[in-house]
Amino acid sequence: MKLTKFKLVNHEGLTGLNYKGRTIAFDKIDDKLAEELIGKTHVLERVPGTEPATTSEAPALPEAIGDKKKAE
Amino acid sequence: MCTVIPLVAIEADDCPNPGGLTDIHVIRRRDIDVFPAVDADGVTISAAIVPKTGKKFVPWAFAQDTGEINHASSGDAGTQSIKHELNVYVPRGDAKIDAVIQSALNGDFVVAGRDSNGNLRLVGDERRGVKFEHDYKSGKKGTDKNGTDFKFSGEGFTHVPFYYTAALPV
Repeated sequence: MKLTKFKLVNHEGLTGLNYKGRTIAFDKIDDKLAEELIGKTHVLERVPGTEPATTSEAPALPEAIGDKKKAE
Repeated sequence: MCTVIPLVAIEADDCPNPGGLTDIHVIRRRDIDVFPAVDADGVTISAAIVPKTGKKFVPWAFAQDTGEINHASSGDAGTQSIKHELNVYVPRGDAKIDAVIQSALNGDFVVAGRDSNGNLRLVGDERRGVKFEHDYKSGKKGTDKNGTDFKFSGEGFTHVPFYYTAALPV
């Protein structure tokens, strides 16, 4: 259990988070849990360059498809 | 500033629906640095509350099946608002609990209570906290209750206790 894609920030005086009824100590937060918690707390910050990869390609614009048909 | 929200239907459900609270966390209102804006539904806060440096929500344990969160309309037609209330019973009278009680008098609080359905709700908000009251009784007989009723309450809110879906800093 270690944070590699996130880092703890602004957590002076805090011991953890209470989320969905569970109290979670900071040393129990791993990358998987941090991925769920990011945006729901001020104490986690993503390490730049570790954003999850997007798998789907952006669909072609209708205009572009129309242009392609015209060209054919 | 008031936004009139259109009326929508309430659907029936067949899910379990237990009563009561399972845990509460308390913070002084002045110890909150950022109280996020409410979501578009007017009742949910999905962004995180940020306490001032060194401050946090603290848990107050209570006897099982004694926690409740209530809200009700108050005021006459045309001037209606909502009152918030959260009650728990803390068993035993001792120096540690009494020190907490003493420190809470005249305080101005925001309290997060999780109900038995898992919803975390906030009494008090960034502009108006809830006050603390207590009533300790030792009991007379060996089988009497020996403990303190804790009550947080406030009036004049423009909203029901917010549903808080982010993480609480503790």
